[in-house]
Amino acid sequence: MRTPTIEQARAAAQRLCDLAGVTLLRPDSLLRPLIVEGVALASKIGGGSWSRADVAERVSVTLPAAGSALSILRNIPTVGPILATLGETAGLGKDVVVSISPQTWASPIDLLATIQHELGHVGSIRRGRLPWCLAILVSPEARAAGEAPCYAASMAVLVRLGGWSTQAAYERAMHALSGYALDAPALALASGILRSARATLDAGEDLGGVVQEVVTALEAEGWHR
Amino acid sequence: MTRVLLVEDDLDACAALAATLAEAPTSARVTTAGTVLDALGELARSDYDAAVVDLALDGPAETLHEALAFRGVPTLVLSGTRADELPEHARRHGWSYLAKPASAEALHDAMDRLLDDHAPPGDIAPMSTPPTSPAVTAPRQRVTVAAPVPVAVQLVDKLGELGAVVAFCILAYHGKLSGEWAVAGSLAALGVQSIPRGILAARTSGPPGAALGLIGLGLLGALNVGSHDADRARVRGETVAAATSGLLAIFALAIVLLVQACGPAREALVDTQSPRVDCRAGSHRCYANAPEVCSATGRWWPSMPAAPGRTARVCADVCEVRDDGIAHCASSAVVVP
Repeated sequence: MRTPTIEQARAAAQRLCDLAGVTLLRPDSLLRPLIVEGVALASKIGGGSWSRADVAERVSVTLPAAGSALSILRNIPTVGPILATLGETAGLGKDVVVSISPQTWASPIDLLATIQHELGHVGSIRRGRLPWCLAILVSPEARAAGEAPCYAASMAVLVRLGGWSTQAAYERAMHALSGYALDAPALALASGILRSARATLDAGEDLGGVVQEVVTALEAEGWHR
Repeated sequence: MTRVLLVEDDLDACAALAATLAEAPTSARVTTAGTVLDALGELARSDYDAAVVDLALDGPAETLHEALAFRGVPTLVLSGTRADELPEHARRHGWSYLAKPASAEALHDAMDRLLDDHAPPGDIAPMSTPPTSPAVTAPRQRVTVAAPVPVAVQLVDKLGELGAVVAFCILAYHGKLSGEWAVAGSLAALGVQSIPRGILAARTSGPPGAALGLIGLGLLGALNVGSHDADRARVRGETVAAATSGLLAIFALAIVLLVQACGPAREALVDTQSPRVDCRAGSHRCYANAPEVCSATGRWWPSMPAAPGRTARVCADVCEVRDDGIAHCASSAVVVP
Protein backbone atom coordinates (compact mmCIF):
# COMPACT_ATOMS: atom_id res chain seq x y z
CA MET A 1 0.00 0.00 0.00
CA ARG A 2 1.35 3.45 -0.92
CA THR A 3 2.01 5.87 1.89
CA PRO A 4 0.10 9.12 1.37
CA THR A 5 2.13 12.28 0.93
CA ILE A 6 2.16 14.76 3.78
CA GLU A 7 0.06 17.15 1.69
CA GLN A 8 -2.55 14.46 1.05
CA ALA A 9 -2.58 13.54 4.74
CA ARG A 10 -3.00 17.15 5.83
CA ALA A 11 -5.82 17.73 3.37
CA ALA A 12 -7.49 14.50 4.47
CA ALA A 13 -7.14 15.52 8.12
CA GLN A 14 -8.77 18.85 7.36
CA ARG A 15 -11.55 17.06 5.48
CA LEU A 16 -12.21 14.70 8.39
CA CYS A 17 -12.37 17.63 10.82
CA ASP A 18 -14.67 19.59 8.52
CA LEU A 19 -17.02 16.63 8.29
CA ALA A 20 -17.04 16.35 12.07
CA GLY A 21 -17.64 20.09 12.54
CA VAL A 22 -14.36 20.50 14.39
CA THR A 23 -11.75 23.28 14.15
CA LEU A 24 -8.30 21.94 13.26
CA LEU A 25 -5.50 24.07 14.71
CA ARG A 26 -2.14 23.64 12.99
CA PRO A 27 1.09 23.72 15.00
CA ASP A 28 1.91 27.21 13.72
CA SER A 29 -1.33 28.60 15.11
CA LEU A 30 -0.87 31.63 17.33
CA LEU A 31 -2.95 29.86 19.95
CA ARG A 32 -0.72 26.78 20.13
CA PRO A 33 1.68 28.27 22.76
CA LEU A 34 -1.30 29.15 24.95
CA ILE A 35 -2.68 25.63 24.60
CA VAL A 36 0.73 24.14 25.36
CA GLU A 37 0.97 26.12 28.59
CA GLY A 38 -2.53 25.08 29.60
CA VAL A 39 -1.99 21.40 28.88
CA ALA A 40 1.41 21.38 30.62
CA LEU A 41 -0.15 22.99 33.69
CA ALA A 42 -3.10 20.57 33.64
CA SER A 43 -0.69 17.64 33.37
CA LYS A 44 1.34 18.95 36.29
CA ILE A 45 -1.74 19.47 38.44
CA GLY A 46 -3.22 16.13 37.50
CA GLY A 47 -0.04 14.21 38.31
CA GLY A 48 0.79 13.38 34.70
CA SER A 49 4.37 12.96 33.48
CA TRP A 50 4.45 15.41 30.56
CA SER A 51 6.99 18.21 30.66
CA ARG A 52 6.31 21.46 28.86
CA ALA A 53 8.79 20.48 26.13
CA ASP A 54 6.99 17.16 25.66
CA VAL A 55 3.66 18.92 25.29
CA ALA A 56 5.03 21.51 22.88
CA GLU A 57 6.60 18.96 20.56
CA ARG A 58 4.49 15.85 20.83
CA VAL A 59 1.09 16.39 22.40
CA SER A 60 -2.00 16.91 20.29
CA VAL A 61 -5.13 17.79 22.21
CA THR A 62 -8.89 18.16 21.92
CA LEU A 63 -10.36 21.19 23.68
CA PRO A 64 -14.06 21.13 24.51
CA ALA A 65 -16.33 24.15 24.78
CA ALA A 66 -13.92 26.62 23.18
CA GLY A 67 -16.84 28.81 22.15
CA SER A 68 -18.18 29.00 25.70
CA ALA A 69 -14.70 29.75 27.04
CA LEU A 70 -14.42 32.68 24.62
CA SER A 71 -17.70 34.11 25.93
CA ILE A 72 -16.29 34.10 29.45
CA LEU A 73 -12.93 35.42 28.25
CA ARG A 74 -14.68 38.39 26.65
CA ASN A 75 -15.72 39.60 30.10
CA ILE A 76 -12.15 40.13 31.28
CA PRO A 77 -11.27 43.85 31.31
CA THR A 78 -9.35 45.30 28.36
CA VAL A 79 -7.52 42.23 27.07
CA GLY A 80 -10.51 39.88 27.23
CA PRO A 81 -12.38 41.18 24.17
CA ILE A 82 -9.13 41.32 22.18
CA LEU A 83 -8.22 37.72 23.00
CA ALA A 84 -11.78 36.58 22.37
CA THR A 85 -11.83 38.24 18.94
CA LEU A 86 -8.47 36.66 18.12
CA GLY A 87 -9.84 33.29 19.20
CA GLU A 88 -12.92 33.64 17.03
CA THR A 89 -10.77 34.72 14.09
CA ALA A 90 -8.73 31.57 14.62
CA GLY A 91 -11.90 29.50 14.38
CA LEU A 92 -12.38 28.76 18.05
CA GLY A 93 -16.06 29.62 17.90
CA LYS A 94 -16.94 25.97 17.22
CA ASP A 95 -17.75 23.68 20.09
CA VAL A 96 -14.60 21.57 19.86
CA VAL A 97 -11.04 22.37 18.73
CA VAL A 98 -8.28 19.90 17.86
CA SER A 99 -4.70 21.21 18.19
CA ILE A 100 -2.02 19.16 16.43
CA SER A 101 1.60 18.92 17.59
CA PRO A 102 4.55 19.77 15.28
CA GLN A 103 5.84 16.20 15.38
CA THR A 104 2.50 14.78 14.32
CA TRP A 105 1.97 17.43 11.65
CA ALA A 106 5.17 16.30 9.90
CA SER A 107 4.26 12.63 9.56
CA PRO A 108 1.41 11.51 7.26
CA ILE A 109 0.48 8.32 9.08
CA ASP A 110 0.92 9.79 12.55
CA LEU A 111 -1.24 12.74 11.55
CA LEU A 112 -4.08 10.55 10.31
CA ALA A 113 -3.81 8.25 13.33
CA THR A 114 -3.89 11.26 15.64
CA ILE A 115 -6.86 12.84 13.90
CA GLN A 116 -8.92 9.68 14.37
CA HIS A 117 -7.75 9.55 17.98
CA GLU A 118 -8.86 13.13 18.64
CA LEU A 119 -12.15 12.67 16.78
CA GLY A 120 -12.83 9.80 19.16
CA HIS A 121 -12.58 12.33 22.00
CA VAL A 122 -14.88 14.66 20.10
CA GLY A 123 -17.55 11.94 19.99
CA SER A 124 -17.14 11.20 23.70
CA ILE A 125 -17.37 14.88 24.62
CA ARG A 126 -20.48 15.42 22.52
CA ARG A 127 -22.17 12.38 24.00
CA GLY A 128 -21.13 12.80 27.61
CA ARG A 129 -21.04 16.62 27.73
CA LEU A 130 -19.86 18.37 30.91
CA PRO A 131 -20.17 15.33 33.22
CA TRP A 132 -17.85 13.39 30.93
CA CYS A 133 -15.25 16.17 30.91
CA LEU A 134 -15.37 16.38 34.71
CA ALA A 135 -15.24 12.60 35.07
CA ILE A 136 -12.09 12.44 32.94
CA LEU A 137 -10.50 15.07 35.17
CA VAL A 138 -11.20 13.36 38.48
CA SER A 139 -11.42 9.63 37.73
CA PRO A 140 -8.55 7.47 36.46
CA GLU A 141 -11.11 4.87 35.39
CA ALA A 142 -12.97 7.38 33.21
CA ARG A 143 -9.64 8.60 31.85
CA ALA A 144 -8.69 5.06 30.87
CA ALA A 145 -12.13 4.41 29.39
CA GLY A 146 -11.89 7.65 27.42
CA GLU A 147 -8.33 7.41 26.20
CA ALA A 148 -7.94 3.70 25.43
CA PRO A 149 -10.60 3.52 22.67
CA CYS A 150 -9.06 6.62 21.09
CA TYR A 151 -5.65 4.96 21.12
CA ALA A 152 -7.38 1.95 19.58
CA ALA A 153 -8.45 4.22 16.71
CA SER A 154 -4.82 5.26 16.26
CA MET A 155 -3.79 1.60 16.34
CA ALA A 156 -6.19 0.82 13.50
CA VAL A 157 -4.72 3.54 11.26
CA LEU A 158 -1.12 2.61 12.10
CA VAL A 159 -1.77 -1.05 11.34
CA ARG A 160 -3.87 -0.73 8.19
CA LEU A 161 -2.19 2.29 6.58
CA GLY A 162 1.22 2.40 8.26
CA GLY A 163 2.09 -1.28 8.05
CA TRP A 164 2.62 -1.63 11.80
CA SER A 165 2.15 -4.99 13.47
CA THR A 166 -0.81 -5.09 15.83
CA GLN A 167 1.55 -5.96 18.70
CA ALA A 168 3.81 -2.97 18.03
CA ALA A 169 0.81 -0.65 17.78
CA TYR A 170 -0.59 -2.09 21.02
CA GLU A 171 2.70 -1.56 22.85
CA ARG A 172 2.99 2.00 21.59
CA ALA A 173 -0.52 2.74 22.81
CA MET A 174 0.14 1.24 26.23
CA HIS A 175 3.35 3.19 26.52
CA ALA A 176 1.52 6.40 25.68
CA LEU A 177 -1.14 5.66 28.28
CA SER A 178 1.50 5.62 31.00
CA GLY A 179 1.51 9.42 30.77
CA TYR A 180 -2.09 9.79 31.94
CA ALA A 181 -1.62 9.20 35.68
CA LEU A 182 -3.65 5.98 35.59
CA ASP A 183 -3.68 3.73 38.64
CA ALA A 184 -3.34 -0.05 38.41
CA PRO A 185 -7.06 -0.87 37.90
CA ALA A 186 -7.37 1.86 35.28
CA LEU A 187 -4.31 0.55 33.42
CA ALA A 188 -5.79 -2.93 33.53
CA LEU A 189 -9.00 -1.55 31.99
CA ALA A 190 -7.04 0.27 29.28
CA SER A 191 -5.11 -2.90 28.57
CA GLY A 192 -8.34 -4.86 28.19
CA ILE A 193 -9.80 -2.31 25.79
CA LEU A 194 -6.65 -2.29 23.66
CA ARG A 195 -6.48 -6.10 23.64
CA SER A 196 -10.01 -6.13 22.28
CA ALA A 197 -9.02 -3.66 19.56
CA ARG A 198 -5.93 -5.72 18.76
CA ALA A 199 -8.08 -8.84 18.41
CA THR A 200 -10.39 -6.96 16.02
CA LEU A 201 -7.45 -5.89 13.88
CA ASP A 202 -5.92 -9.36 14.02
CA ALA A 203 -9.23 -10.67 12.68
CA GLY A 204 -8.82 -8.39 9.66
CA GLU A 205 -11.71 -6.13 10.67
CA ASP A 206 -11.97 -2.35 10.77
CA LEU A 207 -12.69 -0.64 14.07
CA GLY A 208 -16.23 0.44 13.29
CA GLY A 209 -15.20 2.37 10.18
CA VAL A 210 -12.18 4.25 11.55
CA VAL A 211 -9.88 3.13 8.73
CA GLN A 212 -12.52 3.39 6.01
CA GLU A 213 -13.18 7.03 6.89
CA VAL A 214 -9.48 7.84 6.51
CA VAL A 215 -9.24 5.97 3.23
CA THR A 216 -12.26 7.80 1.85
CA ALA A 217 -10.81 11.17 2.86
CA LEU A 218 -7.44 10.29 1.31
CA GLU A 219 -9.00 9.10 -1.92
CA ALA A 220 -10.85 12.39 -2.18
CA GLU A 221 -7.40 14.02 -2.16
CA GLY A 222 -6.14 11.88 -5.03
CA TRP A 223 -4.51 9.07 -3.07
CA HIS A 224 -4.76 5.52 -4.38
CA ARG A 225 -3.85 2.37 -2.50
CA MET B 1 -0.03 -21.42 50.60
CA THR B 2 1.93 -18.25 50.03
CA ARG B 3 0.94 -16.36 46.91
CA VAL B 4 3.84 -14.72 45.11
CA LEU B 5 3.68 -12.49 42.06
CA LEU B 6 6.82 -12.92 39.95
CA VAL B 7 7.46 -10.16 37.40
CA GLU B 8 10.25 -11.03 34.97
CA ASP B 9 10.41 -10.37 31.23
CA ASP B 10 13.12 -12.92 30.48
CA LEU B 11 11.17 -16.12 29.88
CA ASP B 12 13.99 -18.46 30.83
CA ALA B 13 14.83 -16.57 33.99
CA CYS B 14 11.14 -16.35 34.83
CA ALA B 15 10.68 -20.10 34.51
CA ALA B 16 13.75 -20.82 36.62
CA LEU B 17 12.76 -18.37 39.35
CA ALA B 18 9.17 -19.63 39.40
CA ALA B 19 10.37 -23.20 39.77
CA THR B 20 12.69 -22.23 42.62
CA LEU B 21 10.00 -20.29 44.44
CA ALA B 22 7.57 -23.18 44.09
CA GLU B 23 10.04 -25.52 45.74
CA ALA B 24 10.45 -26.00 49.49
CA PRO B 25 11.10 -24.23 51.71
CA THR B 26 9.30 -21.27 50.11
CA SER B 27 6.71 -23.52 48.43
CA ALA B 28 4.87 -20.56 47.00
CA ARG B 29 1.98 -20.51 44.58
CA VAL B 30 3.62 -18.40 41.91
CA THR B 31 1.83 -16.23 39.38
CA THR B 32 4.09 -14.92 36.66
CA ALA B 33 3.84 -11.72 34.66
CA GLY B 34 6.13 -10.89 31.75
CA THR B 35 5.29 -7.21 31.43
CA VAL B 36 4.49 -4.28 33.68
CA LEU B 37 0.95 -4.21 32.40
CA ASP B 38 0.37 -7.89 33.00
CA ALA B 39 1.68 -7.41 36.51
CA LEU B 40 -0.64 -4.46 37.12
CA GLY B 41 -3.53 -6.51 35.84
CA GLU B 42 -2.64 -9.34 38.22
CA LEU B 43 -2.41 -6.93 41.12
CA ALA B 44 -5.80 -5.53 40.24
CA ARG B 45 -7.32 -9.01 40.14
CA SER B 46 -5.75 -10.75 43.14
CA ASP B 47 -4.06 -10.18 46.47
CA TYR B 48 -0.47 -11.35 46.91
CA ASP B 49 1.58 -12.10 50.00
CA ALA B 50 4.81 -11.06 48.30
CA ALA B 51 6.25 -10.02 44.97
CA VAL B 52 9.53 -10.73 43.23
CA VAL B 53 10.23 -8.07 40.63
CA ASP B 54 13.01 -7.73 38.11
CA LEU B 55 14.29 -4.16 38.02
CA ALA B 56 14.90 -4.11 34.26
CA LEU B 57 11.51 -4.79 32.70
CA ASP B 58 10.03 -4.12 29.27
CA GLY B 59 9.20 -0.51 30.01
CA PRO B 60 8.94 2.12 32.74
CA ALA B 61 8.00 0.27 35.90
CA GLU B 62 7.34 3.21 38.24
CA THR B 63 3.61 2.58 38.12
CA LEU B 64 4.12 -1.04 39.15
CA HIS B 65 6.49 -0.04 41.96
CA GLU B 66 3.97 2.50 43.20
CA ALA B 67 1.16 -0.04 43.05
CA LEU B 68 3.18 -2.56 45.06
CA ALA B 69 4.17 0.05 47.61
CA PHE B 70 0.62 1.37 47.84
CA ARG B 71 -0.73 -2.11 48.51
CA GLY B 72 2.03 -2.84 50.99
CA VAL B 73 3.12 -5.99 49.21
CA PRO B 74 6.48 -7.17 50.61
CA THR B 75 8.75 -7.10 47.58
CA LEU B 76 12.10 -8.54 46.61
CA VAL B 77 13.63 -6.65 43.71
CA LEU B 78 16.18 -8.40 41.49
CA SER B 79 18.58 -7.34 38.79
CA GLY B 80 21.60 -8.60 36.98
CA THR B 81 22.25 -5.79 34.53
CA ARG B 82 21.36 -2.89 36.83
CA ALA B 83 22.58 -4.31 40.12
CA ASP B 84 24.17 -1.00 41.08
CA GLU B 85 20.74 0.63 41.06
CA LEU B 86 19.21 -1.96 43.38
CA PRO B 87 20.05 -0.31 46.71
CA GLU B 88 18.49 3.01 45.74
CA HIS B 89 15.30 1.41 44.38
CA ALA B 90 14.97 -0.82 47.42
CA ARG B 91 15.65 2.04 49.83
CA ARG B 92 12.96 4.16 48.23
CA HIS B 93 10.24 1.65 49.07
CA GLY B 94 11.80 -0.21 51.97
CA TRP B 95 12.11 -3.38 49.94
CA SER B 96 14.70 -6.15 49.90
CA TYR B 97 16.97 -6.69 46.94
CA LEU B 98 19.05 -9.45 45.49
CA ALA B 99 21.62 -9.31 42.74
CA LYS B 100 21.35 -11.86 39.93
CA PRO B 101 22.50 -14.50 39.38
CA ALA B 102 21.33 -15.69 42.77
CA SER B 103 21.55 -19.20 44.11
CA ALA B 104 18.38 -21.06 45.06
CA GLU B 105 19.49 -20.90 48.68
CA ALA B 106 19.90 -17.13 48.54
CA LEU B 107 16.48 -16.73 46.96
CA HIS B 108 14.79 -18.98 49.52
CA ASP B 109 16.61 -17.21 52.31
CA ALA B 110 15.52 -13.80 51.07
CA MET B 111 11.92 -14.96 50.60
CA ASP B 112 11.77 -16.58 54.02
CA ARG B 113 12.89 -13.37 55.69
CA LEU B 114 10.52 -11.33 53.56
CA LEU B 115 7.53 -13.53 54.35
CA ASP B 116 8.36 -14.21 57.99
CA ASP B 117 8.53 -10.59 58.84
CA HIS B 118 5.45 -8.58 58.00
CA ALA B 119 6.80 -5.73 60.03
CA PRO B 120 8.38 -2.95 57.97
CA PRO B 121 11.19 -4.50 55.94
CA GLY B 122 13.61 -2.06 57.51
CA ASP B 123 13.41 -4.19 60.66
CA ILE B 124 14.80 -7.22 58.89
CA ALA B 125 18.25 -8.11 60.06
CA PRO B 126 21.02 -8.13 57.49
CA MET B 127 21.34 -11.50 55.84
CA SER B 128 24.32 -13.69 55.53
CA THR B 129 24.38 -14.41 51.85
CA PRO B 130 26.92 -15.48 49.26
CA PRO B 131 29.13 -12.56 48.25
CA THR B 132 28.12 -12.86 44.61
CA SER B 133 24.43 -12.46 45.37
CA PRO B 134 23.92 -10.31 48.43
CA ALA B 135 20.34 -10.14 49.66
CA VAL B 136 19.99 -6.89 51.49
CA THR B 137 17.11 -5.03 53.01
CA ALA B 138 17.23 -1.31 52.62
CA PRO B 139 16.05 0.90 55.46
CA ARG B 140 12.56 2.19 54.81
CA GLN B 141 12.24 5.89 54.22
CA ARG B 142 9.90 7.47 56.70
CA VAL B 143 7.34 9.55 54.88
CA THR B 144 5.25 12.10 56.68
CA VAL B 145 1.91 12.80 55.05
CA ALA B 146 0.07 15.92 56.05
CA ALA B 147 -3.55 15.40 56.98
CA PRO B 148 -5.80 16.64 54.18
CA VAL B 149 -7.69 19.83 54.87
CA PRO B 150 -11.44 19.13 54.90
CA VAL B 151 -13.35 20.61 52.00
CA ALA B 152 -15.61 22.58 54.34
CA VAL B 153 -12.55 24.22 55.91
CA GLN B 154 -11.18 25.03 52.46
CA LEU B 155 -14.46 26.64 51.48
CA VAL B 156 -14.63 28.69 54.67
CA ASP B 157 -11.03 29.70 54.05
CA LYS B 158 -12.07 31.12 50.70
CA LEU B 159 -15.08 33.02 52.02
CA GLY B 160 -13.03 35.97 53.24
CA GLU B 161 -11.45 36.49 49.85
CA LEU B 162 -14.73 35.97 48.04
CA GLY B 163 -16.37 38.44 50.39
CA ALA B 164 -13.73 41.03 49.50
CA VAL B 165 -14.35 40.53 45.81
CA VAL B 166 -18.11 40.77 46.25
CA ALA B 167 -17.59 44.04 48.14
CA PHE B 168 -15.48 45.38 45.26
CA CYS B 169 -18.20 44.28 42.89
CA ILE B 170 -20.93 46.12 44.81
CA LEU B 171 -18.84 49.27 45.14
CA ALA B 172 -18.03 49.28 41.43
CA TYR B 173 -21.63 48.63 40.45
CA HIS B 174 -22.82 51.64 42.47
CA GLY B 175 -20.14 53.86 41.01
CA LYS B 176 -18.24 54.24 44.28
CA LEU B 177 -15.14 52.68 42.81
CA SER B 178 -13.76 52.81 39.28
CA GLY B 179 -13.60 49.59 37.33
CA GLU B 180 -9.82 49.71 37.19
CA TRP B 181 -9.48 49.97 40.97
CA ALA B 182 -12.05 47.25 41.43
CA VAL B 183 -10.13 44.96 39.12
CA ALA B 184 -6.86 45.75 40.87
CA GLY B 185 -8.43 45.06 44.25
CA SER B 186 -9.92 41.80 43.05
CA LEU B 187 -6.61 40.72 41.60
CA ALA B 188 -5.04 41.41 44.97
CA ALA B 189 -7.69 39.30 46.69
CA LEU B 190 -7.91 36.48 44.19
CA GLY B 191 -4.99 36.62 41.82
CA VAL B 192 -2.24 37.27 44.32
CA GLN B 193 -3.54 34.94 47.00
CA SER B 194 -6.00 32.28 46.01
CA ILE B 195 -5.09 31.38 42.48
CA PRO B 196 -1.36 30.74 42.99
CA ARG B 197 -2.07 29.10 46.32
CA GLY B 198 -4.81 27.02 44.75
CA ILE B 199 -2.48 25.93 41.97
CA LEU B 200 0.20 25.03 44.48
CA ALA B 201 -2.32 23.18 46.62
CA ALA B 202 -3.59 21.42 43.55
CA ARG B 203 -0.36 19.42 43.54
CA THR B 204 -2.11 17.43 46.22
CA SER B 205 -5.77 18.31 45.84
CA GLY B 206 -6.17 18.28 42.06
CA PRO B 207 -8.45 20.38 39.87
CA PRO B 208 -9.77 22.87 42.48
CA GLY B 209 -6.77 25.10 41.73
CA ALA B 210 -7.82 25.40 38.13
CA ALA B 211 -11.42 25.96 39.15
CA LEU B 212 -10.32 28.91 41.27
CA GLY B 213 -9.04 30.46 38.08
CA LEU B 214 -12.54 30.10 36.63
CA ILE B 215 -14.01 31.85 39.65
CA GLY B 216 -11.54 34.67 39.14
CA LEU B 217 -12.57 35.03 35.52
CA GLY B 218 -16.27 35.03 36.31
CA LEU B 219 -16.05 37.58 39.10
CA LEU B 220 -13.66 39.84 37.23
CA GLY B 221 -16.11 39.76 34.35
CA ALA B 222 -18.90 40.83 36.65
CA LEU B 223 -16.75 43.65 38.02
CA ASN B 224 -15.75 44.87 34.62
CA VAL B 225 -19.30 45.19 33.41
CA GLY B 226 -20.52 46.62 36.68
CA SER B 227 -18.01 49.45 36.56
CA HIS B 228 -19.36 51.10 33.43
CA ASP B 229 -22.01 53.72 34.11
CA ALA B 230 -22.29 55.24 30.66
CA ASP B 231 -24.97 52.96 29.32
CA ARG B 232 -26.86 51.64 32.29
CA ALA B 233 -29.33 49.54 30.30
CA ARG B 234 -26.59 47.83 28.35
CA VAL B 235 -24.55 47.41 31.48
CA ARG B 236 -27.40 45.76 33.32
CA GLY B 237 -27.91 43.27 30.53
CA GLU B 238 -24.23 42.44 30.44
CA THR B 239 -24.05 42.33 34.20
CA VAL B 240 -26.65 39.61 34.21
CA ALA B 241 -24.62 37.67 31.64
CA ALA B 242 -21.37 38.18 33.51
CA ALA B 243 -22.90 37.33 36.85
CA THR B 244 -24.25 34.17 35.25
CA SER B 245 -20.71 33.33 34.11
CA GLY B 246 -19.47 33.89 37.65
CA LEU B 247 -22.18 31.73 39.12
CA LEU B 248 -21.45 28.99 36.61
CA ALA B 249 -17.77 29.15 37.55
CA ILE B 250 -18.64 28.88 41.24
CA PHE B 251 -20.97 25.99 40.46
CA ALA B 252 -18.18 24.26 38.54
CA LEU B 253 -15.82 24.80 41.48
CA ALA B 254 -18.34 23.32 43.88
CA ILE B 255 -18.75 20.25 41.68
CA VAL B 256 -15.01 19.79 41.23
CA LEU B 257 -14.36 20.19 44.97
CA LEU B 258 -17.16 17.81 45.79
CA VAL B 259 -16.13 15.03 43.42
CA GLN B 260 -12.45 15.46 44.16
CA ALA B 261 -12.87 15.23 47.89
CA CYS B 262 -15.69 12.76 48.04
CA GLY B 263 -15.26 9.26 46.65
CA PRO B 264 -18.99 8.51 46.38
CA ALA B 265 -19.56 11.79 44.54
CA ARG B 266 -16.77 10.91 42.12
CA GLU B 267 -18.25 7.49 41.57
CA ALA B 268 -21.69 9.02 41.07
CA LEU B 269 -20.23 11.28 38.40
CA VAL B 270 -18.68 8.31 36.60
CA ASP B 271 -22.01 6.48 37.00
CA THR B 272 -23.61 9.13 34.80
CA GLN B 273 -21.46 7.79 31.96
CA SER B 274 -21.57 4.07 32.74
CA PRO B 275 -23.49 2.82 35.78
CA ARG B 276 -22.06 0.01 37.88
CA VAL B 277 -23.62 -3.35 37.16
CA ASP B 278 -21.31 -5.61 39.14
CA CYS B 279 -19.65 -7.31 36.20
CA ARG B 280 -16.43 -9.29 36.72
CA ALA B 281 -13.32 -7.10 36.46
CA GLY B 282 -11.42 -7.72 33.26
CA SER B 283 -14.20 -9.68 31.56
CA HIS B 284 -15.38 -8.87 28.03
CA ARG B 285 -18.77 -9.03 26.37
CA CYS B 286 -20.52 -8.10 23.14
CA TYR B 287 -23.29 -5.56 23.61
CA ALA B 288 -25.28 -3.96 20.79
CA ASN B 289 -22.82 -5.55 18.35
CA ALA B 290 -19.78 -3.89 19.90
CA PRO B 291 -17.15 -5.23 22.32
CA GLU B 292 -17.09 -3.96 25.90
CA VAL B 293 -14.72 -4.46 28.83
CA CYS B 294 -15.58 -4.55 32.55
CA SER B 295 -13.59 -2.31 34.88
CA ALA B 296 -12.43 -3.07 38.41
CA THR B 297 -15.38 -1.09 39.76
CA GLY B 298 -17.90 -3.18 37.81
CA ARG B 299 -18.71 -0.91 34.89
CA TRP B 300 -18.90 -1.84 31.22
CA TRP B 301 -16.90 0.42 28.91
CA PRO B 302 -16.91 0.24 25.09
CA SER B 303 -13.64 -0.68 23.44
CA MET B 304 -14.62 1.01 20.17
CA PRO B 305 -13.88 4.74 19.84
CA ALA B 306 -16.90 7.04 19.70
CA ALA B 307 -17.81 8.47 16.32
CA PRO B 308 -17.65 12.28 16.23
CA GLY B 309 -21.35 12.56 15.47
CA ARG B 310 -22.54 11.28 18.89
CA THR B 311 -23.25 7.81 17.53
CA ALA B 312 -21.56 4.70 18.85
CA ARG B 313 -19.38 2.70 16.48
CA VAL B 314 -20.35 -0.94 16.06
CA CYS B 315 -18.81 -3.93 14.32
CA ALA B 316 -19.38 -3.96 10.58
CA ASP B 317 -20.33 -7.63 10.73
CA VAL B 318 -20.52 -9.39 14.10
CA CYS B 319 -19.05 -9.10 17.57
CA GLU B 320 -17.89 -12.28 19.20
CA VAL B 321 -16.03 -13.39 22.33
CA ARG B 322 -12.95 -15.55 21.69
CA ASP B 323 -12.09 -18.65 23.68
CA ASP B 324 -9.59 -16.61 25.71
CA GLY B 325 -12.39 -14.24 26.74
CA ILE B 326 -11.47 -11.32 24.46
CA ALA B 327 -14.44 -9.66 22.72
CA HIS B 328 -13.78 -8.32 19.23
CA CYS B 329 -15.27 -7.63 15.83
CA ALA B 330 -15.18 -10.58 13.44
CA SER B 331 -16.48 -11.69 10.10
CA SER B 332 -19.45 -14.00 10.01
CA ALA B 333 -18.49 -15.26 6.55
CA VAL B 334 -17.81 -18.98 6.53
CA VAL B 335 -14.57 -19.80 4.76
CA VAL B 336 -15.07 -22.78 2.47
CA PRO B 337 -11.86 -24.76 2.11
